[in-house]
Amino acid sequence: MTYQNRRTFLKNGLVAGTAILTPMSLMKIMAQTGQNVNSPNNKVLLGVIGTGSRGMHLMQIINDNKNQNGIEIVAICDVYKPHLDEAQAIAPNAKAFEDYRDLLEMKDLDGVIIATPLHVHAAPTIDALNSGLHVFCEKAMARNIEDVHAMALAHYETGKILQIGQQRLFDPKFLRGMDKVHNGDLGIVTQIRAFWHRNNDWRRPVPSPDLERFINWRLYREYSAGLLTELACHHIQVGNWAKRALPIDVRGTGSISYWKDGREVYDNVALIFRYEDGTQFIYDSMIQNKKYGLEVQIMGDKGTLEMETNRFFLENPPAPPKPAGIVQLVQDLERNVFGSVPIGSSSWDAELADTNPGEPIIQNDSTDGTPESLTGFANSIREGKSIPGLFEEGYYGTMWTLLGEQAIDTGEVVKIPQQFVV
Amino acid sequence: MKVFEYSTYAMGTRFHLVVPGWDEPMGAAVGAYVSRILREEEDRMSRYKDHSELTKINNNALKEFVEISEPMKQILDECQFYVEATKGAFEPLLHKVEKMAASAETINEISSKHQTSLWKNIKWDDHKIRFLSSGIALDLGGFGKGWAMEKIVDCLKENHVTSAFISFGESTITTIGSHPLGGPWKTQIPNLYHGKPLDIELEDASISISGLKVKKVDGKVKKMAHIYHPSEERMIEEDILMLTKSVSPLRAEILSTALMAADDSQKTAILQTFSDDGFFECKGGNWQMLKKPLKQANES
Ligand SMILES: NC(=O)c1ccc[n+]([C@@H]2O[C@H](COP(=O)([O-])OP(=O)(O)OC[C@H]3O[C@@H](n4cnc5c(N)ncnc54)[C@H](O)[C@@H]3O)[C@@H](O)[C@H]2O)c1
Repeated sequence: MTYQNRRTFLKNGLVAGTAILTPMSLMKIMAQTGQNVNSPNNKVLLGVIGTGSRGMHLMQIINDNKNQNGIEIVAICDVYKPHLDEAQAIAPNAKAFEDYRDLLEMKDLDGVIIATPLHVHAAPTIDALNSGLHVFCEKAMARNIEDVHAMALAHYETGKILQIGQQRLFDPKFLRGMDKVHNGDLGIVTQIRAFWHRNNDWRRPVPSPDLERFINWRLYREYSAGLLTELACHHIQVGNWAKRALPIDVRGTGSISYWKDGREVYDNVALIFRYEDGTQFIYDSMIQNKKYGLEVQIMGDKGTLEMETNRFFLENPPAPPKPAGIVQLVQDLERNVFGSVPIGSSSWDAELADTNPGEPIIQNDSTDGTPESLTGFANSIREGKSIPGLFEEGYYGTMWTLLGEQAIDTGEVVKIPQQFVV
Repeated sequence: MKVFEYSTYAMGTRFHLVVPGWDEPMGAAVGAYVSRILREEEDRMSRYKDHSELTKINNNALKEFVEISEPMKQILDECQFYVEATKGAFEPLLHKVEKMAASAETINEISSKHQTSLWKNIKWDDHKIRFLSSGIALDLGGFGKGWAMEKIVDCLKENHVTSAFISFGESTITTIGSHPLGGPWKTQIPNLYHGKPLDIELEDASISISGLKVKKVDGKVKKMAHIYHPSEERMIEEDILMLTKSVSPLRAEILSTALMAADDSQKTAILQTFSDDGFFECKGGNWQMLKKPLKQANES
């Protein structure tokens, strides 16, 4: 669908941004997993741009799940030689590049994975799409909303797939959890809370001082919005996904409260997103206490999901089965009969030890969705089309993250400018 | 008549409260109080909760003094009383507790290291506790339900409940007042092997039953040892039931467990000391009274 067509489609049909993405459509894509993906015509040939920590992790996952994804890494690119060399060890047959523009000119390439620092997402993504390649770009999308929007336009105009690395969209516990939210198992959801807490300086070791900003790009505002773009954007996407809506506005505060070591990004942030229906989404993140770790709590009048830890709690958990003696006693009393209560045993072994431990959302929680997101990308390439609504999840995840940054910086309540609604 | 019922899971088992004459709006508040008491006491005494006061004591009291709450101090004092009164048959301190619940082989392996009187290995005062020996842990498994039941009964009475029937895991049963149609509550305690049940009447009184733990495994009922015999240094495997009747649910629970573990001299001491209480044993299909209680001696 071209960009113009899409706008008309949205105007006529759906409210912009409300997800057309259903967990079912993702599950369908995943169901194709492993279907003859390794036959020569079915192989998906990818290049990886930015082979740092995440880039190499993704390469490793691709290699470990070859039978599911059928991806072959045929090219790698990094401006930093030590990382390029390490990546070459993972993909010995891949052609190595130092300039991504050379990589984009390779023949027979289906797509690229982009895992460069945040400020180096937009240019390679747009260039790759314009070269006719499909793109898997790591979250967050870009350092500013103009670049994010430009990436969206390139995606709509070229018709090439652009998938953002929001792996929760492929995580079975999030998929099943969203099913529960959307089919009413939680009742009416009016509050979402999410947080991501760590206790460390978030620094990477730097071999020489002139590489400080290059390696620790997360700590400098020119390259990153710190905790917001690196962590919060995951949960902000989940919030919108759960509500199947976009926030109406965001307000927030932030500070450098503890790690006063020359970094420029906040080490302590709080945001509140409001939704049309009155829902509040309260988010916070910090790196000086790890007790509460990370969680997304979705709260309705009938139940609560704790997505990261795979738990579902009913507001009114089912009562335990009644022993026969108690059933008889109550029946007798209701009929004003004086009976004897047959009851008593040495010890009844409960099926449930805790008072309300909740229940797992899914059994066998064994993936964070990253392998599946790569398989999903490869399957979309094979089908030649994007998973409906998937890109928009990533788009608005980043967009509202950056609007949150604006809210913190200006102290104002920030809405999305109309021209950035896609 | 109207009946208010409240059921929940607590302390690893199920809890049921029946209040005749009450309805849902009246009962909801006491249901909430009961639920809070159960949660508070579980948070204090559970060995299975990482953050319970008991877990903190078990994890740290060997290395250092651990601060204790006022209720925990009362619990320890209460245990002290029953350890002495039962001549050690009641033993809330276990050696290598985790292993104790494991397989029979493991139990044999550790039992040789087990000392009969562990209780002397802890010291506490009004504010703190310390373990004097390694490899021990407090275990309030034969205490907690009775303790919580006492709190619940007090709370219900404060809230004007004058007649109620309460079952905690079916092994501890308490009544408040008399049956609404007059006279004591009548209960029928099943026998082992389909023998004749035991009829017991209860009026402001409690019973507690100890025996092998009943567990459903693949739909089949299995009986499992779960009480340790301190003086014989083994898990109790005999398929018998011990029942204690008392005005206090806590005492009923402690003494029924202690009797399972007691040797002859301990048994005699228990029957003599607690002469107001009633004791019954079910062995090979027969219920038999161990000692006729002096008061409330109306059991058949
Ligand atoms: N989805 C997730 O859970 C997840 C997890 C971690 C990181 N990430 C994302 O992955 C991206 C990379 O993070 P990282 O931790 O791997 O960072 P990193 O610094 O370890 O790696 C970035 C790599 O990009 C290279 N690079 C920089 N400029 C380049 C250019 N112009 N051309 C080619 N290569 C270039 C760097 O040399 C480095 O090797 C970030 O956007 C981050 O948010 C996502």
